[in-house]
Amino acid sequence: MTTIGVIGASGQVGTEVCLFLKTYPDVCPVAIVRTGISGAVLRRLDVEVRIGTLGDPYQCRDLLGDCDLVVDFSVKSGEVADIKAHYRGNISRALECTRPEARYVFISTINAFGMGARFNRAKQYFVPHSVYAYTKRYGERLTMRLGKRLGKETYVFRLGHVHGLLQRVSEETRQLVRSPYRRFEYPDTPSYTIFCHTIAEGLVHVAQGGERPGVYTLISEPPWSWREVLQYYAGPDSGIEVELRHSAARAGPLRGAAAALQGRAMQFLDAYGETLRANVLHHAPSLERRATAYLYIRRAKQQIQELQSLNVYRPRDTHEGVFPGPRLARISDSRFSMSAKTDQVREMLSRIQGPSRLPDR
Amino acid sequence: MFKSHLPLLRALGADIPWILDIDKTRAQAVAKAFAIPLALGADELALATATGVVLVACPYGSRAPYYRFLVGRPAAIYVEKPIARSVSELERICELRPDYALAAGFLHRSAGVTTIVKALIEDEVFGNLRRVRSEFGTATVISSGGSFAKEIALAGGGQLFESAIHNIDTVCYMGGISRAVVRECRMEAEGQFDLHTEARVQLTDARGREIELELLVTCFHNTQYEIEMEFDRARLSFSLFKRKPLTVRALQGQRNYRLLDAAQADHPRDAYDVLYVFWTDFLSGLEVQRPNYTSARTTMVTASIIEQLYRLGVGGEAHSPATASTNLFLP
Repeated sequence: MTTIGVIGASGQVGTEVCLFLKTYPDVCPVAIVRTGISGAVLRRLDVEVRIGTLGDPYQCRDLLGDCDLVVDFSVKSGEVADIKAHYRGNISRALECTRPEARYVFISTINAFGMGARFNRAKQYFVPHSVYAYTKRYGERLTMRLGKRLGKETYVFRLGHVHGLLQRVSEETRQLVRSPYRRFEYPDTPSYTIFCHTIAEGLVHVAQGGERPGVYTLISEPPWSWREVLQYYAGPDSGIEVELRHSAARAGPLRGAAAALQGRAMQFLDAYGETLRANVLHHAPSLERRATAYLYIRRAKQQIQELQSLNVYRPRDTHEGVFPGPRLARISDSRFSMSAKTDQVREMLSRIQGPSRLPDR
Repeated sequence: MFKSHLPLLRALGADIPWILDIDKTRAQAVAKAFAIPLALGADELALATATGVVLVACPYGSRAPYYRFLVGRPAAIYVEKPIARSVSELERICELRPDYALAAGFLHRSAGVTTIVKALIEDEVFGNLRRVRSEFGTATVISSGGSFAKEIALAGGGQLFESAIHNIDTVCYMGGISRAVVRECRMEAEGQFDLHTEARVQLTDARGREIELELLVTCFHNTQYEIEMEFDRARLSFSLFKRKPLTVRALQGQRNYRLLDAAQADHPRDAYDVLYVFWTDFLSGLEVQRPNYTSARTTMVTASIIEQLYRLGVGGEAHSPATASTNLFLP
């Protein structure tokens, strides 16, 4: 039996991953939570719960001493110093208080690549553009450095957008495809979604020694297109239309510059059109008529486009591009592999949710 | 408080002479950040100087000594929600001050959407209000983010008491509810800590009209955080917790329409503008010595619903910290 200790198991991802781990007959997930009440939902789902903090080394040994793998989903909010102290405490204790052969996985996210509000492309940024990215990078570095020093196999999972039966982002997508929008426009670059099923699968492979230590980007492999993601939640015969549009950034610098120049020219005309008419154009009536006609046509096109775009959903802040970083070698294609285990997890959840509230997907 | 009241009060130009926290280091850090001259620890209450208003924003279960301290002092009091788990507890707290000088921080009452819906109900634009359905909760999220929120002795309850109480209070406020009877309550809890609550509450407004409230607060699955109101001729839906527009549709209709106030749209709707309106209305009432919607006494029905839900849900009277706090501060 492989015992996997899950720190921060009471969160949405931690809970669902515990349930997927339970579907493996030779795996025993153990939820580590700080307070008794934090384990309330997990206990109702028949997950073994251990209560305590990693602050005390003796308690830490009791909590993690028999684990073959420890995975840390915990998050801390607040000031940077507090978050770093939290990671420092958790990572060092987890590595010090487990058996020599036990492995450790630090759960990070693709935000560690460093994106920020104005730096949205999917790529590795040298400077992190959010505090979240900075603190996650700190935790990642610490994990790999301490692992090396203590001779332990350590891993970092940079999770994409996590989907699953309990996940808020799944619920939002479900609501989106049921909304009045029938047309959706997404980038034609792959989605960065990952299902809890695949996270659990990756952890099992790590626990069994099937993956090499390192920092991994955890996105479904092969990645789902945005069309597949929406159609998964919409189901067959939903009638939704998903268009994958080319990125403006990939249109080439010349086209980009031309578009920008045209935009500036139109701004100028909007601002000074009446001035030009009053002082210049009326000297050439034919040119004035053509210029006016051009502006009216442009305005008509603009208004038609605005009207049509009301029926089209275009997500904001989607990261375009392909996230870099190695992928786990042995994870399966979730399109085909996750349905049976998802049914098992749905069955477990029906104990607390009641059958009427269970999502289909 | 670091993110809400203090920035707002500073933006209003309020003079804040001292701050007190159970953790003095934290009090000092906050005092430094907001240029507050005096930072006090839990055992330094006696050093607190006289002020016009005292904001009690510490967790519900830790307020007893502060109420006791305030008994003999003239300052008006703003108590952060949740304020009481029972009507008798709230009544005893209300005895501390005249109604205009004791506010309970149910600040969603100030939100633009609340003002619009309250007016629609009062003006009977869609007929009488018949039924309300309120849902709150996210899968696995058993408490608010506060570090105290998982300690029942401090929090006083789970999501129902700590956060979903906003939905209950706002519905009662909008509907002008004067009486509430919980008809059914199915609560799953760990001790006094609610995890899942489904209830049916019979509300009665000031004119004696009955409205049925269906309540769901859960950490077992994701909800839409929506409040849906059914009137004679239309159905309204909105959310206090998500940026979701106020929409209306005919009872049998398929089309949704957005509702906005002609002048104010749906403002105030953000953290600070809502808090700003609440604070300024409280201070205005204080100045003219006239109670308004910020008064703690106007939240009696909310306290009554909470009391009944916990009594039916987990049995017995309000749990010990609440009882203790009501007993301790009274002279």
